[in-house]
Amino acid sequence: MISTTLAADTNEESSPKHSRLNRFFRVLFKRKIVLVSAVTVVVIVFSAVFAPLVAPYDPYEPNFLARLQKPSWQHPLGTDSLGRDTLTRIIYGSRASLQVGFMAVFVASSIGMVLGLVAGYFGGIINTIIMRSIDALMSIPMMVLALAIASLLGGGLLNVIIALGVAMVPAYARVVCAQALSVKQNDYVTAFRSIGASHLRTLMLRVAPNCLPPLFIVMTMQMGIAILVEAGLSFLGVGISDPEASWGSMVSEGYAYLYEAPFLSFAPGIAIILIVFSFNMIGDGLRDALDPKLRGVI
Amino acid sequence: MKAERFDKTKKVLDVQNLRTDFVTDYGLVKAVNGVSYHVNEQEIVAIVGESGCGKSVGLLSALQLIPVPPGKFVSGRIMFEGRDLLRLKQNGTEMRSIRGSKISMIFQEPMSSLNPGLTIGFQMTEGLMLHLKMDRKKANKKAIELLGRVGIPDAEKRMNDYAHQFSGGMLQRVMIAMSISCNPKLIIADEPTTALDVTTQAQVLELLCEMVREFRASLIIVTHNLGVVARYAQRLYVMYAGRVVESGTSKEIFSNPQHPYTIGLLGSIPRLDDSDDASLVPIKGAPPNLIDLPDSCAFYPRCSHRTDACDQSRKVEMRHVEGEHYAACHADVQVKTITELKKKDTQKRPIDKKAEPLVVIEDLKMQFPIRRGLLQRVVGHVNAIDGINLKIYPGETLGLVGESGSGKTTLGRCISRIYEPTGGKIWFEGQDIVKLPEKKRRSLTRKISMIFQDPYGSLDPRQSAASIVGDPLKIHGLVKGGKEYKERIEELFGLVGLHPSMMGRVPHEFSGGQRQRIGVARSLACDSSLIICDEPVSALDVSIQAQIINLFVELQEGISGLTYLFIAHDLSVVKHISSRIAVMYLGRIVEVTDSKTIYKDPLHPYTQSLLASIPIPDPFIEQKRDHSVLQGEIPSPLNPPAGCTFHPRCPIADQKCKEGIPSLATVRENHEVACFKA
Repeated sequence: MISTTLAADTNEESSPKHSRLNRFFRVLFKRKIVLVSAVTVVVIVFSAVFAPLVAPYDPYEPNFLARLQKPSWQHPLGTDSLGRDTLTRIIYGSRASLQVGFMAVFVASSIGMVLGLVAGYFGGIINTIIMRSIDALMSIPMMVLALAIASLLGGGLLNVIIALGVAMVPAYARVVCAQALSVKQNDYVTAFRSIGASHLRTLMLRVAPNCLPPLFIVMTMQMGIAILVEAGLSFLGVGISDPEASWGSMVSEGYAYLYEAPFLSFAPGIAIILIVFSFNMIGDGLRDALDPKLRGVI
Repeated sequence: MKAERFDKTKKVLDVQNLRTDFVTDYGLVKAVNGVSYHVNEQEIVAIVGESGCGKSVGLLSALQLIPVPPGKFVSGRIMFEGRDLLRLKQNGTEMRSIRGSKISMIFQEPMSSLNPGLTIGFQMTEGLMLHLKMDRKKANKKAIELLGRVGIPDAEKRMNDYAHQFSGGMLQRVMIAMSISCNPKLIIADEPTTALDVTTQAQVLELLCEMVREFRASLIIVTHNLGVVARYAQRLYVMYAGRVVESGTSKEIFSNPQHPYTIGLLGSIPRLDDSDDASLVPIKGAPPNLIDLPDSCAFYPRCSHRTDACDQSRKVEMRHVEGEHYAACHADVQVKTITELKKKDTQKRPIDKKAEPLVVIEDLKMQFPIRRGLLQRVVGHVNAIDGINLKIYPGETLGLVGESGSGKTTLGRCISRIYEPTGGKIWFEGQDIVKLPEKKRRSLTRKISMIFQDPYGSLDPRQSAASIVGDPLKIHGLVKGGKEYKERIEELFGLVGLHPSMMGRVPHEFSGGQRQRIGVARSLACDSSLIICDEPVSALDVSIQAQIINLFVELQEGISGLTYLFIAHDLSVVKHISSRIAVMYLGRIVEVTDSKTIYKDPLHPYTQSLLASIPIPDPFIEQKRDHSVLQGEIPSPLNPPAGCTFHPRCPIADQKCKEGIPSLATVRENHEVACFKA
């Protein structure tokens, strides 16, 4: 019988990995808005990295002859109270915003993942201790928590990242914990244990990789939130402060001149909306593309 | 059948040339492709076929219960009470007044076909009030009466219970009560017992047929279990790839199967009354993908009787055989009887009974603590395994059977040391692996491996097949270097009948049967001497199941000393593959003997009733068999009955059984029973 089934098994040969990736991108970009969002993020990241080449002016050099100008051909988005070009400062500000977004999410997801995995996999008293502490942390509104940590540590990019990183841990820990609880029930985890794998090995090689998909979705969603909270912190003056530019601090500075030069606040505000929206849309798209129910269809 | 005053030839439901398509991203799926079937008054008709052959869709179409889109009723007529149901509006009043009232349905999963948030009583009365226009009081009375009729004790009290407070078998009884509540003309039961234990299956089916007779309804059973068909159905339709390939009365088809697919199905299933030297004749390959299927014979690629005429001719028409018997096959297939077909030249290898046992289990106990409250305090114990003594000899297959909840899986997992037994000893190769510290144990227990039931859940979806199979090699460091590793994996792939070119694929690119082959390859990686197979074929289709069973048999013939502990609830599968069988009930072993004796001369009343509840796929034999079914359900191990745990369900229990616990005693050579009456 073996020989006959062998013949039946070999008649379809394809390059599976390749087509799987294709499928993933096809589903991901099936909705046009996701594609537009992805392009937006790519453009913003690109301009942040190559800011000195892209930006038309120097972001720090004051020009008192051109204070609070309206949008014009020289200054497409006008200038601020020190005569610095708003477009240039938005481009440079995206560096801070994106760094905060990526780094805070990285810090939070790393800590959250370890805590969630350990809590979910081992369960029992370990789960209780970790998750109840996480609940306690979660009971404090994120903005307030970040504000408290940031004011304790002082301003600056690094401290904002740390503050946000800690404040966002609960979201990851909970998602990963819930995921680990269900993944560890799977037979393939039992199977791996039954062939003699240790707990650590099982956790790292079987449970952790299968907890990742929902984590990616949370990460993209939280990216937007991190940028938003950073803007909030800078707006409140405990984040990034002049002369360093960040979108939040720019909204805050422009606030004083809302009537004379509305663009000063609006432009960075719109930038914030744009990137937060884009990240959320990508998160939505990822959720569809990573949906296990869609996986394995043909 | 009893002669009753009704018109046997009057058709209740007459489906003609029905076609239902599904429009998907990948192409047009012709799920039901020109199917005609009918049900006469007070007739029990079965529709048989493997999963994905369009059985359910064909029936759901009759009630227009297919979501449109993606579904699409392309053509056909569904005549019921002189009307064409396909012409009615899908959700119009007329269609709704037929559904659940004149035609009612029973689904496979009773747990998910009842609303978990509403009481049983509420759901029972809903239909009565809607279709029969009863008021609440009257409906309540009627519902209680019906629940009592289908054998739900304390019906009045249980009206206020929710679905999760019932067992699966009880829920299916509720579903039956619900389906007959509006005096239907026709009941459609879609795999009504697939999710249930064999004993419960027998109870539920007996009840269903009794109800159908009592209420003078007709019944369509959709099933893949040919035994059920042989026991209950008068006529049957065999479906394959969206078409009916053979139809006729049960006796006609079972005695003279004409279509190669039907022959294949009959050859694929192990039967309780198979002789010892029987081997299964599986259908090769796997069912086809229904997307853009050609109009010619869909079974052609798998057919062992195909001729040149098959491929070219465009469409296969139903050919009249005799009486009501039709088959959709060009060839006039003349086969030997199925029994002859299954005959094998080689004998099972005799087991060396004098050999030292490979595993000796002494008084094994496994208790699970029950924790309650905020502090997770232990408030009690579940005795999942309550003192088991068992020997497994090298080279044999020991079958382990019993209803779900009897502790079969727990025993397997104790031996493979996934669970830490709470008492007793397990001797493996001369060492007690319960006491051994983990470091020492690992090198020993690598020779014990496992195969799981669910071919989807037991393989990591993110890993390639090669790395799944190679896991044990890496963990135990059994190979040196990449070349040896690759060679070993190729060898393992070859052993289980997978082509090495498929090594890079991930599990979801394999079919169910192929996945199970990967599981088998993984279990063989460490040169295991004992493989614990936990329901390894119960999730597979009949034809695939036969392929995997044959693989197990071939491996054992090829690898000397390979021993299986084969856990399954399907006694006919276990009987086919095992040399000895142990029957478990509530954490204890009640009977151990060789597989021939257990069928011919079972001594424990539980074994006897298990055997009686398994239908044999042959209507002639089924007519003669005693259909008395085991009453009641397996008690919760949380609160087992005193004395012999089987006494509440036992037909021959007396005072002694209520007080003492019978221990497993040898009554004759190689036959141990735990019963006072044996």
